[in-house]
Amino acid sequence: MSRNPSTELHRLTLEQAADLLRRRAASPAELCEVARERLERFEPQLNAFITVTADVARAAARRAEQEIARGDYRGALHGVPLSLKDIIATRGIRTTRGARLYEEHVPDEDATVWSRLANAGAVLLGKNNCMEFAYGTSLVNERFGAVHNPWDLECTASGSSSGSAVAVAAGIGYASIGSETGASTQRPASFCGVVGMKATYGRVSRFGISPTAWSLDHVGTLTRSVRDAALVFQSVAGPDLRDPTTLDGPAPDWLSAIERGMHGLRLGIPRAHIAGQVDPDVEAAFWQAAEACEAAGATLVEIDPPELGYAAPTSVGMRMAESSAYHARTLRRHPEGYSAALRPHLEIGNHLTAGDYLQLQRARRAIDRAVSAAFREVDLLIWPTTPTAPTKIIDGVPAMKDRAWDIGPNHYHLVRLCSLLGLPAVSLPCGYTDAGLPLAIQFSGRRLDEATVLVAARDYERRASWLRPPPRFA
Amino acid sequence: MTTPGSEPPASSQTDDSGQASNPGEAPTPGEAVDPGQAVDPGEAVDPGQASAFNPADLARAQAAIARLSELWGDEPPPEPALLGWDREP
Repeated sequence: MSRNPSTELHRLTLEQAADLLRRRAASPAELCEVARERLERFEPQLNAFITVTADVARAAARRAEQEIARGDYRGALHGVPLSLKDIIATRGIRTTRGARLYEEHVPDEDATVWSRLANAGAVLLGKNNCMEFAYGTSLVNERFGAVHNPWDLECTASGSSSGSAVAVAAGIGYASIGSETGASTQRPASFCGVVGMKATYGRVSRFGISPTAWSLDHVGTLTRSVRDAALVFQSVAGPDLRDPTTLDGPAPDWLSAIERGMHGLRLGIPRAHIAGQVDPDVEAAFWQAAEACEAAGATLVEIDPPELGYAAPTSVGMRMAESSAYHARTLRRHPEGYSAALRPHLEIGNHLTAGDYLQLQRARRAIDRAVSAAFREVDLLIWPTTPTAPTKIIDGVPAMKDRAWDIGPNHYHLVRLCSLLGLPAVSLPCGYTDAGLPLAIQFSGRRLDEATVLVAARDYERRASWLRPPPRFA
Repeated sequence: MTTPGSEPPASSQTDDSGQASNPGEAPTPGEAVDPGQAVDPGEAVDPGQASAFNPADLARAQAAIARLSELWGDEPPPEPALLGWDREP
């Protein structure tokens, strides 16, 4: 079977590319070569990769081609090129964690998430640049440099899954695996105009992924469609004996009912943390998106539990304590392996007391109870993913407007809420600024209810059609 | 949980005891530090590499953490949501 010669392979979704491969209307080698060529052409401008695995990719693509040709088709990821955030261990391939300390480190075992993708036949293009040790979104990576946003090269891609979001936005591969501790998948997805998803805490094994904060870390996906996000998560979710926090039971089928539409769903909007707490163009785009959801048959419900006003300090404090504990010994022994910008952030947590940490965990329980009560009134929560459009990289330091310790009305509580409580969430574009920079809306749901999050996000995506490539990288 | 690839680079993989260090791995009970033991001078922080964090940042963090008690007010504080916490929807 042939395909339309005008098909721009790099602009396809993963699902569309998989369909071509399945029908043998395109080959894995072809997809790999297109991705490789774009990587080579655009990487000097973007800096989205730390390690490029061109030879590995070609070999995997050839292998996939042979397997598909003889009828051993493994599924939608077979022969599809993608990338991984460089905190995900890849056997025999450098995994730096974005850090000088590990710049030559080569793991001898794969992370579970990559192992599952590789077994599904995925082709690894390379390891994506990220924040040092995936920590924070306001710090420059001193060793590997800042990642540049394809919508405006002078802008940050946010982080910490910066390279992952940029690669997908620029049409280099069909997906990337990132991570999220605060909002490290959602924010880059918003800033780069792609779909970012995280699932319920424990859905996906974190074995082989460098921890940032044990009780907050999640695997995330960056894709060019909501269906792709569901497809990738289904491929990697499921129990793993090597990560005791993983949930029992097989990964659900999230694609089968994803097109059912959001009619009848109740969408909660925490207005107190949106009105006047985000830039005007962000707020305008969000309300336009909310109205589109209403037009699709959803009911909008204003919901403002006061406990939400404590989420940011709870999340940030918890990350501070857990990250400091994780890095304490290595930081003490090898301080030169950490950047001057990151060291204070990792040292400060060692001075929090046990009482502080238990206070943080109690606060999480209180916030969780309030949000669970809210989910008895609504099916989903929606809000603008980020309070601003992509911001400028100033003097090498991405500029952010975080208000980590502010209690009360503050959009940052929403930014960090889903990773704090382990809730599933999807971010996707909902408009553009006058300057053409992407804006995004986030759908968040109850734990274990990825299906409803995906249904609503997919319905909005289909109706609003905001997903498009950056003009310079179309 | 053991994390593959969590070992520091080869040049720094042994501590003074000659045992491989693995920052990704939690210490076993047998490795628990005796609280009565002095800090190994070999592990003391080089003053030239002294902590650069701003004490005011710590104070600000702890002040915000203290305010989290507002979440329960006069009620008994809830139990902590520790690792492996509620997974029920």
